[in-house]
This record gives sequence, C-alpha cells and structure tokens, in this order.
Amino acid sequence: MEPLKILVIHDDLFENDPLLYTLRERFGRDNVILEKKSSQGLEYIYNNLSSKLIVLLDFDLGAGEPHAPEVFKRIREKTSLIYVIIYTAKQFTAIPNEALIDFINNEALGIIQSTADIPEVVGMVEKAAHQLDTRVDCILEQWIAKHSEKERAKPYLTTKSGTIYTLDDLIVEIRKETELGQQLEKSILQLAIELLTSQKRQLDD
Amino acid sequence: MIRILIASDDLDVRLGEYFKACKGNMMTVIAAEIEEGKLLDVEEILPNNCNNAYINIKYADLKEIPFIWVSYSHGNENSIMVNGSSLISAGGDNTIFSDTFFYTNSCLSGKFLGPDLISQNCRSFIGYDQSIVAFKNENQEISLKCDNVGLISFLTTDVTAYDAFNNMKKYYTQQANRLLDLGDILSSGLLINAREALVFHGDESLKKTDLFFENE
Repeated sequence: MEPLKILVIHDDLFENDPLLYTLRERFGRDNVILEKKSSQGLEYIYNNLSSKLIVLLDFDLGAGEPHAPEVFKRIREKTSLIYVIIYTAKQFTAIPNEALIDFINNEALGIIQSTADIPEVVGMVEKAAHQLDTRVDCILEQWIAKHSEKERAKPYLTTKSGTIYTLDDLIVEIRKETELGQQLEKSILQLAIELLTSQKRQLDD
Repeated sequence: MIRILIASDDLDVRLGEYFKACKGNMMTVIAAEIEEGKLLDVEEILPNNCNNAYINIKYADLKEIPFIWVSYSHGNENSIMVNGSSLISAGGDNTIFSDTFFYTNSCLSGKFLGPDLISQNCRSFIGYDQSIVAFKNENQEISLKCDNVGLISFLTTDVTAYDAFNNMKKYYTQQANRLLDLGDILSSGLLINAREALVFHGDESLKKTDLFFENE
C-alpha cells in the first residue's frame, strides 16, 4: 500500500526543524515534505491527489502566496479526502471569523498552535492518519487507484440519468462527496455488512 | 390470455440503448413462452406514443381487465419518465392500472408512485425506491438480467409476485457474490445497493392465473 505522506506548508520552517525531524522519524524520511511556498504546496497536492495525504498548513504564508483560507478552499475544490491541520503561531482570536467558519464547515481536522509541544502535533497527525486508514471513502479511493490506467479509463457504470463514469471519474465523485460518491460509499458499507452477516450465518450453521 | 404492455424509452440519448436491450431480452423470453403454448399477448408501445393521453385513449379498455405493465425508462419519486416527460405520475388518474402487475426498472418511482398506484387498485408493484446504476462493458449484461429477472421468474414459473420479487433479490445476491469472487468490490457493492433499493408494494399473493382474462 502506498505510504501516507505528510505535507508541511510553512514559510518559517526549515528542513532541520525538530518538528520535521520527529515527523520523519515517525512516518519515514521520504514521506514528510516541506514546502515553504503555498503555491508549490498546492502543486504537490494536485499532483498527488490519489495519495493518502495529511497537510499541516501555516496560516500566513508570505507575501504574494495564497494564505491558509485560500489554500484550504482550493484543496476542498479538488478533494475532501485530504486531512488539513492548521498549524499557526497566530492567536485564535486573530484568525478572521470567516476563515474559522470555512475551516469548520469544510472539515479541517484541527487547528493547533505552533507553540504546542511536538508530541501534541505528532499526536494530531497520528489521529488524522488513523482516520484516513478507516474512512470508507479513502479505502474505496485506494482500491480504485490500484487499477491500471487503462482499466481506470474504461466506462465502468452509468447512472439511470445516463451519465457514464470511468473509475477515474468515480474517484472525483468520491472526493467531491457528490450524491453518486455518497452512494458508492454506502454501497461498500452495505457490502461489508452483507459479508459480515453472511459470515455470521455460516458460523451459526 | 395474459396481456402484457411494454413501454421503453428507446430514444433516450444516453440510456436508450440499454432500455432497448432490456426490452429485447424480455421480448425474447415472452416469445419463447408463447412458442411453448403459454397464452401471452405482448404489445410494445412505440417510444413516440409513450405519453399519458395516448395510453389513456388507446388502452381505455384495460381499465376493465387485468394486465402486466412493464416500463424501461428513467423515473423519479413521483413519475415514470419517457421522452423527458412524465408518462405516469403519482396523484394523477391511474385507474387504467387497476388490477395490474406493474413492473419497472426506473429509479426512485417505488417511493411515491408505487404506493399511489396501489392506492388506485393496482394489484402489485415491483420497482426501485432509490437511484441505481447500470454497469457498462462486460458487466452490462448483469444489470440487464437483474432488471428483468423478477418478471421473467413470474412469467416462466408458477410463483407469486412476491416470490418473484424475492427471486430477484436472490439473483442480485448471487451476482454480487460472483463479482466479489472476481475482486470487483465496487460493482458487488453497487448490486447490493440496488438490491436494497428494490421495493414491492401491493398484493403479495398475486399469481399469473389472477391476470388471465377471456379473449373474446
């Protein structure tokens, strides 16, 4: 299975920062990436949409670069499957209300102050990693991603409203949590329950 | 004689071919039954004639006799849709379907239209109360057979409408298991999802013999 990646978008951190060192120790050297410019961070995200990804996102990201609310919005336009943790030196009271509302409504996993202890930050990243491992949509997306490019590009199903979807199209539906994406998630849960109950029936027999 | 009317949205730009294939499969089964001496009379309503006024005028005599109605088309919670318009709607005068076995593969119509038809003396209804999907390519045949298996079971054996409904569910389960064995968890899950969207309304004990009428 593809390893979990941690992307840190922060203009004030350096490669030798203790936080990065600890994260690399925990999640693997190659799996923790630092981008000091948010535009480059977004580029990394767009190029790795099928990866399991957690983003530690600073709030203010330097002149000329999109700040956290904009970065977060652009991530959510593409996917709901990436966990975003806002990691900032800013006091909560200094974060604009609109930004806080957007973070909550679009499911930022948490906001953590950069003055927090490193174990606290790592703990939150671990919590996000666990949730990514157990979310149905993430598992389904990973199952689709395992198919070859050719298989993913073939028409796979059509809704009774007539739109044809390839497996690649279905990944988008899942990421955007559309009605069809939610139906796919529900289908997998129904299948899981079916399998569990039929297994139980067999054991009872 | 049992009269069967089939309406199919063959001209639908996106799914017309699928609906037509479902109808073709059903017609083949019915033709084989007729060949074996079963007293079935099947009539296809041409797509351009699939509108409420045409049906109510042309088939006005059906108010007095039982029959089987089959439609392959889009749908919503309240209606069967053909050619982009509502062909049969909840709340309308649906007395033409009194004493009818109503069978449809349209999405959602099992939610409100099905119960409404039963309240207007339709005998039994099999359909879906959720949106469902059809597979493409090598799995398309599975969708088609799942959509048809209930009515085929009813027509070719001596089961009740409710038994036919349960046979349909069993077939869905078998196909879901088969796809699971092939490693296709998503298609397998979608079949379970479609199976759970299947609904039955009305008289569970309805049998073919209840739909016979004397052809003068």
